Amino acid sequence: MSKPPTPSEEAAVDAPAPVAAADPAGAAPATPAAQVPVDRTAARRAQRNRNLILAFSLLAFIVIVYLVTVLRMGGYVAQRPL
Amino acid sequence: MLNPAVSPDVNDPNAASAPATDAARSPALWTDYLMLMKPRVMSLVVFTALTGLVCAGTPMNPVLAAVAVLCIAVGAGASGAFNMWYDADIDGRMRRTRSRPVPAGRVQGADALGLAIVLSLLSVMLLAMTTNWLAAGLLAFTIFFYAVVYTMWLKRWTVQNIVVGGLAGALPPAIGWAAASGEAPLNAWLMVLIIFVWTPPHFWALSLYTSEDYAKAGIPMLPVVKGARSTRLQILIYSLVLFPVCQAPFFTGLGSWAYLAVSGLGGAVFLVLAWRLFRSQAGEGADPRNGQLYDVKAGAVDARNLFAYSILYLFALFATLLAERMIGLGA
Repeated sequence: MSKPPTPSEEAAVDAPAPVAAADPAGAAPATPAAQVPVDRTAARRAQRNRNLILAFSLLAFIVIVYLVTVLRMGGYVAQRPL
Repeated sequence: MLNPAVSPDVNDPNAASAPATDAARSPALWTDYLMLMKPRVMSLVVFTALTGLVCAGTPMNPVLAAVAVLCIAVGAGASGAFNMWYDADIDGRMRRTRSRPVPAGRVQGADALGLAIVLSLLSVMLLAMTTNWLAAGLLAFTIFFYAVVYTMWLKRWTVQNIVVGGLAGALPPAIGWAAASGEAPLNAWLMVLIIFVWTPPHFWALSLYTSEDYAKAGIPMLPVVKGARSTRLQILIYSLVLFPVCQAPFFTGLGSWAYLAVSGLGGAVFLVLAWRLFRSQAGEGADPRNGQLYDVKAGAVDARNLFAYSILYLFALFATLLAERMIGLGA
């Protein structure tokens, strides 16, 4: 059995240097301005694709639930006593 | 409680002050979320669950059968997402896993956890609605076992982690069987037992030539804690146990003569490879080269051979069961 890593060990390894430097207090170095628009464009494109996939997944889920409901009800459902 | 290994969302406009590094510049793609679900593991789960479903021999509407297999696959994906969320810290330390979405900083840990919870609930509820509560209950248990018992508890605690944790990966045939028939008889559990006993020699053979990675992450894999020789002995013992277990389906009527031939001949080859691995020096000493992760160390070729063959053997067993049932052989 191995000794679990201490929180400091974890932090040292977990957080990649850029993440650890992203300090809201302002300690982070300034981002090169030329790279920000590129980041945002790529990020928007990625978000749009994710949204499309999510929308497709939700639509597929609705269709599956509809189909399963119909199939599970089986035949003669309209003749069943209420 | 969230895993500490979280990173700022690079898609958040408010995160623009984050430094422009390679990690921060890469936005989370939809494929990153797919990777959270471990698609390669899902493919194995789909195959074994489908085999269980077909071997049950109960007529089932093909749409409902497809939805049942989809639910089992998504449930397995949810387990993978739980694992990726919780293990982000140790994943970041291993070459094999450091490029995964969470340790690489492309997906937040909280997002991975959210995906895992949503997919777990949807897959279990939809499977209950599509088939029955036994199948749904087994799926829920599998997700719980993999996410909590294996990932959060066993993996970092004991050298028997993959032995006990292997149950989670072994259950899909029983879930498939239960989905089709509403019950899980002896033959369903026999399929579970085959995967359960197959798992230790399969993973330990791999760990013999990737043990440095596991040691770096502090994971108590058998070669790291007990040494290579003990691991090779354990592999041989489990291989000896695996042989009769794989023949059992013929005697219970689950498999036919074709299955007996495949399991017998394939099992004999498995034993030969396990014996050669036992006699080898696999896992001994440090690798003098500074190569890639899957570069095989001198003397570890036998470990790699057994690892590769074990995948082929399991696939052949289940493919034979599936084929026999589809052409009308077997019970």
